[in-house]
Amino acid sequence: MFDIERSGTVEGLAGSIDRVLANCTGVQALLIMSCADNGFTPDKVDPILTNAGLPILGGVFPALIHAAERLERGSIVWGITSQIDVTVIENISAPEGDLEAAIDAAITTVPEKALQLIFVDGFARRIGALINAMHDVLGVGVLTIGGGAGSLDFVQRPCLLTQQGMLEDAAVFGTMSRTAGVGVSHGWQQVRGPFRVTESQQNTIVTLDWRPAFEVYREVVEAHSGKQFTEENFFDIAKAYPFGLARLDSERIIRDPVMIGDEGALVCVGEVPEGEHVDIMNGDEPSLLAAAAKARAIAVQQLGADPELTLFMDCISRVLFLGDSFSVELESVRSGDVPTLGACTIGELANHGGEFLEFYNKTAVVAALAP
Amino acid sequence: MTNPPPTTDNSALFETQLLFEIAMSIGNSLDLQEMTKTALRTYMRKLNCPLGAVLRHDERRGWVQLAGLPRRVAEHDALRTAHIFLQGKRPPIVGASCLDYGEGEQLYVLPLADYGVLVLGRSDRPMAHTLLSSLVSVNGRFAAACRACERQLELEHAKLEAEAADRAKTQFLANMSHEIRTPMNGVLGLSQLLLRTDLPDQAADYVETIYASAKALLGVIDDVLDVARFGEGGLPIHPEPTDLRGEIDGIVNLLRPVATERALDFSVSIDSHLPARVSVDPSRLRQVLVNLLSNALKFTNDGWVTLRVRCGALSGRDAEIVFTVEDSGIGIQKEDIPQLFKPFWQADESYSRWRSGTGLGLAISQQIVTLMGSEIHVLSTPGQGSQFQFSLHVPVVEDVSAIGPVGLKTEMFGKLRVLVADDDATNRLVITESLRVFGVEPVLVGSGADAVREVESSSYDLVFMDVQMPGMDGLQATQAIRALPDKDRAQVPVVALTAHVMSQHREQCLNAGMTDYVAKPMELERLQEVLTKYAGDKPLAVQEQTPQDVLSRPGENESGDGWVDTAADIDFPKLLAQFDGNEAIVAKVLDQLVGELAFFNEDLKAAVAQQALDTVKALAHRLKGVSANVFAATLSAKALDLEMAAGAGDPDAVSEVYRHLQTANKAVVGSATQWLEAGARGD
Repeated sequence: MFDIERSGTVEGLAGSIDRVLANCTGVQALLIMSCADNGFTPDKVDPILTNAGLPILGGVFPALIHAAERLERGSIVWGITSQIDVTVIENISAPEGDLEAAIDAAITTVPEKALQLIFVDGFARRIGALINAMHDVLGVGVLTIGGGAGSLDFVQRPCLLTQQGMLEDAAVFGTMSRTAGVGVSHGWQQVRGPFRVTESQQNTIVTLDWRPAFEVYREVVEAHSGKQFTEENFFDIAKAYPFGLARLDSERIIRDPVMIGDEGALVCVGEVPEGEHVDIMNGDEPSLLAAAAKARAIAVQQLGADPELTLFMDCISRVLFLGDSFSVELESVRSGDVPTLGACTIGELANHGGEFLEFYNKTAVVAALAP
Repeated sequence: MTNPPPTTDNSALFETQLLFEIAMSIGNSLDLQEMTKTALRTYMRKLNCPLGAVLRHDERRGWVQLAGLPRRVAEHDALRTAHIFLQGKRPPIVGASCLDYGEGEQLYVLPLADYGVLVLGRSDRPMAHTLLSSLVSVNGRFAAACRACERQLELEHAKLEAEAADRAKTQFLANMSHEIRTPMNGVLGLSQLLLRTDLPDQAADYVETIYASAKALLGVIDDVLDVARFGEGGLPIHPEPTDLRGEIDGIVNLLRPVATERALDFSVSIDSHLPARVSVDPSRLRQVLVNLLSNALKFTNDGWVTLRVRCGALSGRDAEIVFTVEDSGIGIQKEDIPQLFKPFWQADESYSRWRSGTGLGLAISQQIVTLMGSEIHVLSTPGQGSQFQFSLHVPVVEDVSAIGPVGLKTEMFGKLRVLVADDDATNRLVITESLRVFGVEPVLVGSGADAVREVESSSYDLVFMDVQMPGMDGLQATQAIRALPDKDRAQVPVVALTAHVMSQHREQCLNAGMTDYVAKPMELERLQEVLTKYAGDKPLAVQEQTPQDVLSRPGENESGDGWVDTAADIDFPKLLAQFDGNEAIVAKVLDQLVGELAFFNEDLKAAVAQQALDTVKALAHRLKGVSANVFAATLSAKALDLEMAAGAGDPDAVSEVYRHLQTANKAVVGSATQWLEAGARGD
């Protein structure tokens, strides 16, 4: 049972929660996704979250997805009736924090057929460490879907919705007993590479092949696109040319360059370890739209049955890239009357089973949930 | 069902790229757990493997897991399969093996040279042969990195063990020091006291030899302890306001008999611009100069030994003092000079045998000078002599009051109320007899608890406290005294009197609230220093026994002598006797006195003019003590009158007494100046 609230007001959210709880029995937890434009702040929303009397997981995102519709105001509240354990980990950016120990202490048992929902502050600095810790504790057997919360102004602020209230620099995840399938695809193709990441600092690529990263990137992108970078148009061009990190027998992991840093460095969403090789990628509308459909197909195929509900985490930068065509992407994931809920995220989190849990950019992640 | 087939190719370039990234993740830490985990995670990520483990072969336990991901991988069927495969095998495992353990699942067991194996589980299509072969090569690097981590761990353990052994050694030295010093205290103290009795000449000679031998032995122990402290973090240096000339005089007086005995010309040259007081550790400076001069005297057969002290550039409130010890001795070979400051090194075994010595003195001296921020430099020509030189940058101490008053005569401590707490009967005897030399009759207790009770029930001016006592030790007793409700009694000076001499013990004493620290055996000179420092600046005897009282009761002291001659402005015979007839010291005292009286005169004049009676009273009180110390009885009496008049709040009386005091002051200054001028003329 879920409820779509379109006013974007605090009262609207409270009403939505009340409706879900009134109309659905056996709710174990609430998944709440809200639009950043609602302007929710802890002082207004915390009383509602803390008084709900149930575990809550979710976040504030640049946009929400409901069926083939993109919402830029309002909230989605889903009453989860499956058995679910919800865990909150705070201060994930603290360098001294032992995330693995925190996760290990929080997770006592994992159901045999488990689906994990995870949301993280998209501007936290140690998302990579969190992902590693999550993998080290849980392994690859737990299907995972989730994404980074936050808003497009790139300002870190409380953006996770939990039973403790709105939180910043935190992660919230819930592991539920639910048969599901997960598909991941992005549709970006290699243009040039590989380039060796000869110096990087977390999410900033300082040099590629011992040259300033932007210098290398500019040569390739300007030649391929026929456009010239200026002081104002970096992201307009760069949104079509992400980096790809190589994995054996798997799609490349996409990293989205979002701005030029000091001395020609490139700042990305997500970490790019030193010593990695990256390709410069490019895509067009057809390839991206095909990828979203492919992600859904993989998820449904993995489930092996018609889903009761589809969760769709799609990168906000795909929205920016596709523009009006984003509605086509939504249509390609939607399937008949099967409800589709989701968010346009700042980085996506997924493990479709048998691979490493990854933090993606510019990628479509779909989970198909069994009845 | 998994994602569809890969979109990337398996070209050699792509493999090389992956292998490079894996290789880059190896060996980035010397912590075995961290390094293996980081590298394993990269293997798994790059090769798209859901599980992995590093197994090491141990002769005793067989195959053990060093690292594994995810955390509970050991419970996984794949690891059980790997263990079954490895049963009965031991490194080196040759070549990569691919085992089936489930439908569509592969388990790779890859050798880590002669170290162990890397296990990787994979659920996608099998890895290419070329990639597997290349991985075996990269794994060689991984194995080497694992071994490097283990060596590092072994080294760290060895270091910890060595440090523990070093701590044990230091503790042993501390204990030995205590054990040796306690009986030495008895030998030295009692032989010193014995020498003050009427002994037959032969017996006196024997006792003198016992005393000298014990003192020499103590010197050796001190040297060995100092060298031990090198490894303890350095010798402790405690700068304090120091009368440099006084220290040098003391050193020269100590060594002059040696020079005389060896028929050497021993001269000292001190810069006239040398600051009166500087901040330096006097005992450590003395240790260095005595060592350098002793060596010079030891290694000079005929000719001369000179100590020169020059004041170099003054910058701000700091002075550069250059100490030079020069001799016309046997000199040192050029190649031996670099060895001079190494512990236990002696230039010439044959010389050292008849000249004695441990070979530690120069090493200790260099260490001390280094800790003081300088270095000893050596110039020497064999057969012609040597020069040892070092310079110290030291703060100049401007405050005259920073140094205690010049030496009080021993009998002046007669009315001090002193408590001695020591559980050892010999020690109690030594300290009692030593204090009696200064006219002090101490109260004795044998435990810390008794000491606390005594201080609580009676008023004391000074407490000598042994540190190591059964039950409540000296540190606890001092803390208990400091916590007494009677604040005056709680603040009594407590001087640690102990055979513990390591630096941490000094800190322990001071941290426990003790006022000072004196190492056993404590000699009479040091005892007088302590009495002067902690009782002399509160003129207890003088307070209760005013100069007028003294004048009215000549012969009250044990010797039967009067304190001062009432007729004289300064009692010079007494003053000379105070300093064992050393005119140089008397001259220095008088020189300082003249300066101080000028200071008092100016300040008193201003205070009297402004009728600032509290200031007058305080200045008169200090003047009373200063003048009594140099046996200027009249001036001391007038100062007392002035103090009383000011205390009574009578401005007229103050003006009247002040006029008389000025007369007495001029007379004292005149006498002192006359004496000094006569000395300068050599009259």
